[in-house]
Amino acid sequence: MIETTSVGEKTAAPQGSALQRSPRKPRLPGVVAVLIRRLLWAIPLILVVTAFSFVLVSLTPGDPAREMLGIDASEEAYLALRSQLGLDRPVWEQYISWLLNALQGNLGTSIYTGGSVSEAIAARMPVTISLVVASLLLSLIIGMIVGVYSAARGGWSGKLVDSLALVGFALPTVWVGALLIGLFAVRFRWLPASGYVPFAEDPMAWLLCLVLPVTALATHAVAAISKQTREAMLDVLGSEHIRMARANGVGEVSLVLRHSLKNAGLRISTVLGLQAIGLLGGTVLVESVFGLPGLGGLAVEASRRHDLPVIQGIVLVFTVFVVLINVAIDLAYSWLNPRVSAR
Amino acid sequence: MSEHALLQVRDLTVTYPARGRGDGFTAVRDVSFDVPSNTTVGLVGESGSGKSTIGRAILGMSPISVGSVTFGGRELAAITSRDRRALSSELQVIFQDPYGSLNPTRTIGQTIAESLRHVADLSASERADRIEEALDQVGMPRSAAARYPGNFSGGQRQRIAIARAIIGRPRLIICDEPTSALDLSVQAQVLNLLMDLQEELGLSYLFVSHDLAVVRHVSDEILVLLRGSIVERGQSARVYDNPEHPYTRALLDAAPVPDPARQRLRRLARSAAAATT
Amino acid sequence: MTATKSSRKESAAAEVSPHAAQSPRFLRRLLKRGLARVCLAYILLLVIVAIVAPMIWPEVLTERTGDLADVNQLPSLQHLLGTDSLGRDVFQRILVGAQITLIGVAQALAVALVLGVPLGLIAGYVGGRTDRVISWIADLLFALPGIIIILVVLAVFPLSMTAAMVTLGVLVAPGLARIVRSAVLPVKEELYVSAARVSGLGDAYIITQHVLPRVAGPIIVQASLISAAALISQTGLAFLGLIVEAPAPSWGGMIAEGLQNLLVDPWLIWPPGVAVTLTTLALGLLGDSVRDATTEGWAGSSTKAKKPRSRRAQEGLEVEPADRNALLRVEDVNVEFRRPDGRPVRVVDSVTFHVGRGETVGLVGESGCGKTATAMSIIGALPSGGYVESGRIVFDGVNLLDLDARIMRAYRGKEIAVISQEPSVSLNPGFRVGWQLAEVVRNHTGLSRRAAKARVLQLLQQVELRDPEQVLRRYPHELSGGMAQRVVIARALAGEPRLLIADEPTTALDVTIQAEILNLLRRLVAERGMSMILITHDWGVVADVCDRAIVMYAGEVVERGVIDELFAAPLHPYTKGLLASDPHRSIGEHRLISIAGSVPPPGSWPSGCHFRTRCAFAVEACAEGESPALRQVEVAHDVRCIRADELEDHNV
Repeated sequence: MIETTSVGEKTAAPQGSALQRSPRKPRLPGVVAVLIRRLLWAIPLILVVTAFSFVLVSLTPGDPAREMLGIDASEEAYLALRSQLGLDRPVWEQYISWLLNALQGNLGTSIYTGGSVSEAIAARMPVTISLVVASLLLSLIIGMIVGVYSAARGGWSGKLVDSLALVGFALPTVWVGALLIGLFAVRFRWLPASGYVPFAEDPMAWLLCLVLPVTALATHAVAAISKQTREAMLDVLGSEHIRMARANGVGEVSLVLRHSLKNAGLRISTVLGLQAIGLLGGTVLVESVFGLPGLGGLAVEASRRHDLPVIQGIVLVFTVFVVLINVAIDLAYSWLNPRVSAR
Repeated sequence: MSEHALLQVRDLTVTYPARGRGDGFTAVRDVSFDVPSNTTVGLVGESGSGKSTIGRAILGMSPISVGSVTFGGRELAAITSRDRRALSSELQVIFQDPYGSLNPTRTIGQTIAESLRHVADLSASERADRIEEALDQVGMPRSAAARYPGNFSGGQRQRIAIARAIIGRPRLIICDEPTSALDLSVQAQVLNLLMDLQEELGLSYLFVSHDLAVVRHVSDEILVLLRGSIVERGQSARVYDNPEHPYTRALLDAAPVPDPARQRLRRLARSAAAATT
Repeated sequence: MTATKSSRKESAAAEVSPHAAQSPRFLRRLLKRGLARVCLAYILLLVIVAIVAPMIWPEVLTERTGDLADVNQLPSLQHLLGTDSLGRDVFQRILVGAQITLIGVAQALAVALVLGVPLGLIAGYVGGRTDRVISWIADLLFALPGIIIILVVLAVFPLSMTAAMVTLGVLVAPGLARIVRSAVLPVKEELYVSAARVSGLGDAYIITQHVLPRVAGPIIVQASLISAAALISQTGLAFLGLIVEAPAPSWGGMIAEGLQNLLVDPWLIWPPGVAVTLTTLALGLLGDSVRDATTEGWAGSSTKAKKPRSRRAQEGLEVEPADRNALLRVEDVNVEFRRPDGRPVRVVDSVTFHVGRGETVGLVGESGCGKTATAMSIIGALPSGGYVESGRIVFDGVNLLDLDARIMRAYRGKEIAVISQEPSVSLNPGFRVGWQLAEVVRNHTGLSRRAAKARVLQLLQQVELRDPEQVLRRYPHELSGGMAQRVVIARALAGEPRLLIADEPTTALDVTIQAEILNLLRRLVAERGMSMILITHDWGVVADVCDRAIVMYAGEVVERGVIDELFAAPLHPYTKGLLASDPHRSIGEHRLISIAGSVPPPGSWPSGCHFRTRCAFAVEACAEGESPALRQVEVAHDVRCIRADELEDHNV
């Protein structure tokens, strides 16, 4: 959602400070350095995000112990639960112990259900990952093909891509979802309107129940990736070195698919990273629209019910996802641009 | 070197700090020279010779690591930004790229007038008069003041840049490759203009260029730079006609002369020299 | 040659360009665009609606049910957009909902601008440690899973749209700061900023007067995109019922209500969805228009103009006997470029010349005279928008303009190769030198991978590169200018071409490197019996390398001849003036000879002789009719000037 600002963003500095690699060094250590750098960078990110949400939560007027016990509970029971939950300790102590537990995979218990947060998250993770990975693959494949084709061919296909990208950018995900349900589930009854079937249970049903949510989720990413691919390809195809390579006999296919695509790859991977993070956020909406039991839906429920341990856990998981996406993008960068930060 | 030259540069060294570890990069090493009043001193060298860095150091755009630079008796190495501001009308600059040196969103008049912001006690009409005078001096129509840089050719823009430099009545102008982005016929116009203005206003120039013929044409004295150090200096005709340092000779030999017969002879002489060594 | 004695005032006044004053006033340019006007009008209308509608129908904000007898109605005159499942008027709810929508968008936008713009300006302008700290924080915030953070905030501040939208603004601000920063960086390096510093102007003045106006475009673009993104996010959050408390109408909430009633009344999802989409489109299109308006003028058109077929193009190939031993004959070639508005502009005007076998021909002239366009038209490598309007380019008996694209490709590199001015940008920065050369070699020869590598090594040795094994493994940015130019020459040699087109091959190089490259080119041409077209503005290079020279001015050949004669006895006033203004030739004189004014840009060439407006010898007859014909004066020495005979002994 937030990442939509990247449409039309031509000048964004590529992940700026992340990498400083000396150009003469051999390849492998460079990649390792990128990895180490990004992972080191991830630590403060995770700390800042979780500490921020922890502090914010501690400012909440409500009291989880009260909410868990209900209004009729005795004062003793309340105080006992408070100390059991560690609520009588200072915020930073609570945070440290949460962090230590989290490192061991224990994210606490839900105030609302009383169940383990880690288990709840683990149970819902496959849904969200299926959604995000499928949407990402779909939008990458369609976006790249459409973008490269329209840049290489020009003419009407370029204008069409520009217009479709704009519409794709303007359509709100929830509305796309509603329209898809209206058309394919209610009118034609081809596909299920909601619900999720695990892959292990019935692969075909799993696939069918993902079609509409993935389409709704990917609309925006397809638009953004095809537009950015097209623009990046146009820039490269118009550049001096392509003109000179063509003048000296390099074939068109190689010019488009090897020379230009690798140069344009930098910008495409920037967009791809932003879109992947955007898709992750989009699951919150899509899972609500299609009633899918994923992390996004869990986050919305938790937010509504003030189930803070749950939301805290989801924040952690999403942040880790974001870190992983950034690592992948950085690796793509170091391969695509031999000059990464050689300035 | 005289005691009372307008600009005195003594043992100037410019070192850029390294990024991270390392020793840093010394762009200029132990350079000393004078620019007397109403004189042009040419700095010539190839890329990386430090010729532009010297100009930038005098203007306060590059750090003076060691040495001193005195202008009109004032030391510039440790000058406060307020004092430098007061100096700005006396010490000016003309850059190489006439397209980058004018802000496309401001009118010519606004751009030229910037050099007057620190000249106190000027009424609006005096200011307008000065702008017109400066445009006259560089041979631009007065109507140019209300227009934007986009309307002018490279040569005209360079005239405008010169107007900006002279409007504050400077004593020294650093000319950093002022004609290397210009075509041959326009280069000649601009060089002539610079020389006329010198006669008219008694200016001094520190003229930085890679082209020995251009430098020889405008300068009284030439300094030849190689990797941050001066390798040869002297009266311009002497340096050009009888170079002493092998590097100066190499520079002169490398530049082809626009005369086919002479160039053929030079080439033969050079290959003969190469064969014997 | 007026300049020697004439006043400076005249000389420059003649130069003032004929274009009407083009003020870069941004708003005026924006409003010239119809689309921008429509978007602005829509947004303005929406703002008015958002203010007025809640005043007209204050009850809509609190109304839980409408007329329960009148639920789920389709649009009618009474209810323009029908009624919802509780009998409320959908039209009223959409209009009143605009207020909540716009307030939320404005909150997010304001926070993003207040945080992002100053941080970006400071990071870009101050640089150094400040920049690193700001960039680090921006990177950190930018990487947050945005919507989850908003959910956390909403868990703490239930149903607070302000809290959600302020958080959104904070989360978007780093992206804005980053864009502002990268827009500031090049502006900071502009020479006019340095000039302002030299003039003693303070940082605050420079930031507000010089930097901010230059980055205003990107900021406005981002502002509209951020608004659009905020609207989309807000719709999602309202859909989830997290930011607007029922029964107050919000567009997102109305989509949720529509979804719940999808089976009963499929109409209900349409009005709010269309409202959000239209508003987002308006904001996004406005951003695009602003971007186009700010880059207008310097950006070329992005679509490739189709190359119209040459006038004389015929079916099949037209093969002629090669006469006069010429390898290449360029006959009456006109080259035009299509402007962004579609009008063609002629840049090369009926140019005719030939290149003999083993001969080196110089194309000489100032910039904007059509030298490069002429040369690139030979190989069909004109930049986008350019095409050969008419003429013949006969290479070894074959008119290249008649060839179809596939056959033409076989000529590129194999018969005719090109090296360009800027070696550093004529190699692909993303691939190693060895790979790039091997690809060309394999294309031309079909050699195996290993054989191609051996051939590449051999080529690198031929261009006198030391340690070719090591050069193979480098990327272009790891080469010096001279080395890169040698690699480019090696690529040009890979197909054993018979004609080499060298476009200012040494202009970007230092003079000592230039001498080496010129020697290399001369040697290669001699050894291989290649022909060469050398484009240059440097008379010294012509004298050093060429056999004959062709002088171009304003799209035309004005003089051509063997160099000894051309240098000793130039005939055209332009050639005379250009030679005389070379400081290498006028040693010892105080003033240089100069030619008044500058080369007129394509599209504004004068009638008659193209040079007459700058010519000291122009008479009335020069302005009449077409440009004078190119005529032979001496053996192999032609000139395009009606007064050439009178002026023969007249030196400037």
